[in-house]
Amino acid sequence: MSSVFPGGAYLAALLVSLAGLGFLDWRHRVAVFADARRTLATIGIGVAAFLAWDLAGVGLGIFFRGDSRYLTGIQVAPEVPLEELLFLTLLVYQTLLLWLALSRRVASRSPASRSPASRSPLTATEEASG
Amino acid sequence: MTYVILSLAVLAALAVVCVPTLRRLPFRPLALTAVALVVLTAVFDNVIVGLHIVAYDRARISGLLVPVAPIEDFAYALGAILVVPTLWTLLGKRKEPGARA
Repeated sequence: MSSVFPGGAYLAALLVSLAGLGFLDWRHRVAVFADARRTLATIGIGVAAFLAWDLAGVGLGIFFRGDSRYLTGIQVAPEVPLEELLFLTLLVYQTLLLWLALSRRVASRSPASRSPASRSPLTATEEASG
Repeated sequence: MTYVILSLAVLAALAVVCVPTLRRLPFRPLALTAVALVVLTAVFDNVIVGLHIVAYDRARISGLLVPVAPIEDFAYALGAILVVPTLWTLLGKRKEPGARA
């Protein structure tokens, strides 16, 4: 309840980070705000894949939840805190935004000189420009 | 060494699945994104490990730390650059005419 509740600190940091990415996405129409279904499917499948990787690591006894006081203590699976779901979402969303934004820059610098738009990952967003 | 083996096995499997799609995409955006992700991982993974949000069995990691995060953790950044652009590209193809139904 208190704003200094340390158990929510990591969760809050992840939510602030996701909100920041969401704002940039909205401002520049990169992913969710260009093709919501494709973005949500990419993030959903991507997060599921990384979660399977996490569970393999936990199952092999490689890593586990730390004793940090900045965790809420809520777990979604053995040794997988709630925060890990948001971390994986942040990782996938960050990757998608960076790559799409950088791809857009490359596409705008080399206008159809080498090969057609089918090479570009930006088929849904190409009309967007600053 | 368990973590090294797991990381390399996962990256190898992802590469087999993703590289055929990635090869048809422009190289520079992929490479620059990979560099950025590795830098972000170097910063924030050390925060996460340093604050004891995640912990490791020392007997199952290589012991190579940069500076407190296990080097194997960087496999997640490399996995992301393999998986995410591949998913986005394949999910976009599905709707195009002429693609397999």
